[in-house]
Amino acid sequence: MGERILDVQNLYTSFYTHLGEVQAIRGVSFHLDKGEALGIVGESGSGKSVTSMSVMKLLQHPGKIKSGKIMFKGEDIVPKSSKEMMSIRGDQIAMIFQDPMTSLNPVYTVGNQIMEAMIKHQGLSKSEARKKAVEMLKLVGIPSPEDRVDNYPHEFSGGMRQRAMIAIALSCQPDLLIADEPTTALDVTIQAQILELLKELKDKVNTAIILITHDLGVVADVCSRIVVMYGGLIMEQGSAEDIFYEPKHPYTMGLIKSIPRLDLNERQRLVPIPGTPPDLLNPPVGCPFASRCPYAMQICANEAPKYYDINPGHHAACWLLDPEAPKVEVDTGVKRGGADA
Amino acid sequence: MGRYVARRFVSMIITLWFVITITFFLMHSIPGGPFSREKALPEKVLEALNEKYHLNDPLWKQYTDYLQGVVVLDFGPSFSRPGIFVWDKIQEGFPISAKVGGIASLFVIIAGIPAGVISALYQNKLPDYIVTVIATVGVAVPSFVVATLFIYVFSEKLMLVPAYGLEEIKSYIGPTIALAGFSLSFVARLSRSSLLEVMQQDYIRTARAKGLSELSVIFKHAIKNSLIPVITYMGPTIASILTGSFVVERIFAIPGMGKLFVESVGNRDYTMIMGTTIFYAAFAIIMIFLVDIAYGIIDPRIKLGD
Repeated sequence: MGERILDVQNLYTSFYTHLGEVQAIRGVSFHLDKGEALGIVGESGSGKSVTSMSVMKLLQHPGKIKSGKIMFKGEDIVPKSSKEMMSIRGDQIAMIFQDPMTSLNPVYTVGNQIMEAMIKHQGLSKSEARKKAVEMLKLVGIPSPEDRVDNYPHEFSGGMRQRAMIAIALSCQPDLLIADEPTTALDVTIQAQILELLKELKDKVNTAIILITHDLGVVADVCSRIVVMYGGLIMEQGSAEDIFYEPKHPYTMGLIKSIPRLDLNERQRLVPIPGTPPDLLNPPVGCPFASRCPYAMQICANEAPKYYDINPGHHAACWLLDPEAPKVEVDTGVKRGGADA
Repeated sequence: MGRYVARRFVSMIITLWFVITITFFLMHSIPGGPFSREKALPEKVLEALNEKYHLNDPLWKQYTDYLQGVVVLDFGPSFSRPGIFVWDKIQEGFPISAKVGGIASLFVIIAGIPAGVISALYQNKLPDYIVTVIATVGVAVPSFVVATLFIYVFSEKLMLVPAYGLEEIKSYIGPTIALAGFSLSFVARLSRSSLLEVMQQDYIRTARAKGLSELSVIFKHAIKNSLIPVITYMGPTIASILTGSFVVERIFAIPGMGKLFVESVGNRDYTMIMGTTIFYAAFAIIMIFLVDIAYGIIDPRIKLGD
């Protein structure tokens, strides 16, 4: 285990709307070591993006971190002023976003937008920054970067724009890169390329990555550890192996069963998870997944489950793991050594 | 770029030709003639006048004659003021209107855009409310009310500025406010809503994620994008302000284009009406062209090449 880069402890984030407090994140804890890749998985509204925006401290009004600690390199950034955050953002923590088509400013050249962070954080001159920008474009695999550096975003394809976004994010060699659904808006072949690039750069730049996605297939490829979120809570957390081969939470099992697979019989359909995520304006008292869970018991609706350790680093919040609960065997169809999930 | 300008120039000429043609035939289809008066002129006099101004020629000949004249900036003689030529009157009136209008346009830009920006940055706070209220009043109250009120308060009661004419520098204040009022308010509202929309864009989030200060996020990344719709509005607006508002010029007794136009309509001065209409149209077309050029400069997505 290397140096601890990020340690989020019992984070609560809420949006104070005129309808009331929307409790988007309700006590989330996870950590990340230097050079590690962590996947945060969950469906829309599970709180995964709010988690990342909390770490960036870029929550839009009326969002607010209510309590908890975000230890970044041993220092809590929650109490930091916006000015202190400006010197961290883009320099030590960087982020790439879901939609590369709209994430670049249309009226400035790609090079200009890559140079900005380096000029601001590393005090480079314009010509030095430009040189570095060309290098960055080359690093992320843009052909003839010397010419492309002067292109405007609309002259780039979607995949190239996401590469440019990665170049911006990595320009100052951040310790932590947050990738919020970086491949969702791209077509499948480009998705694979971008993931490959992220994997490759993670080692080259030695940056830790948080990969946020709703697609388990995406994290399987890149991440060594996985956090499964639902209803503003972490449902299950563990190594990628644990999550895929030994899922303990019915929600994780449901997610795995809903991935399209090549090794399934044609007759077997994908199994969706019925129902919709809970309303976080009035979050349920018990387990948020209880109303959709096929194994729900009386206690699930009345009391939130605690985390049960399955093995070191692998834990899940589910009453089924209680020694007194009935034993449930679920076959997700994913076998160790079988076809790749 | 050169090819684009050339192509636009041709289309501008065609647009102008449409304007001339439509104006010409509209004017000639109005019942009565330029010399119809309440007290009818003697038959002989009318005949002589029609002869003198070639009104007895077939319509197509009058039309081609007129077109030929327009090409060399000859808009013919005034029908109601003997010995006076339309182009001379335009040359006389336009600089006066343009001077007042120029000041008003400048006022619209340097006050309207910052007002909108401040308003957006302080959304739902006191400065925003002040700007929004003033801008709403500015859009709702017509210029003649503003002008009349201004004269009543500052000339009549306080006696700070002259009530008419443009003899002193002070005299420009009233017409500028009355002329700019509506557009200024509109520009302020437009810049406000446009900036608010831009601030919600993903690339603003990207800029913030780079650790840029809020000032450079706003001034580098947001404002340039938010000005695009404002420029669209500015072109025709400046054209209309520069060529004068007949109401404002009338109230402040400014001898500009607007006053000329109103008087020519009142006098059924056909050539003068056509002349001023065509002049205004040409001016508006040129302003729109300039706006398109400005677009190309500010927004790289717009290509003026092919």
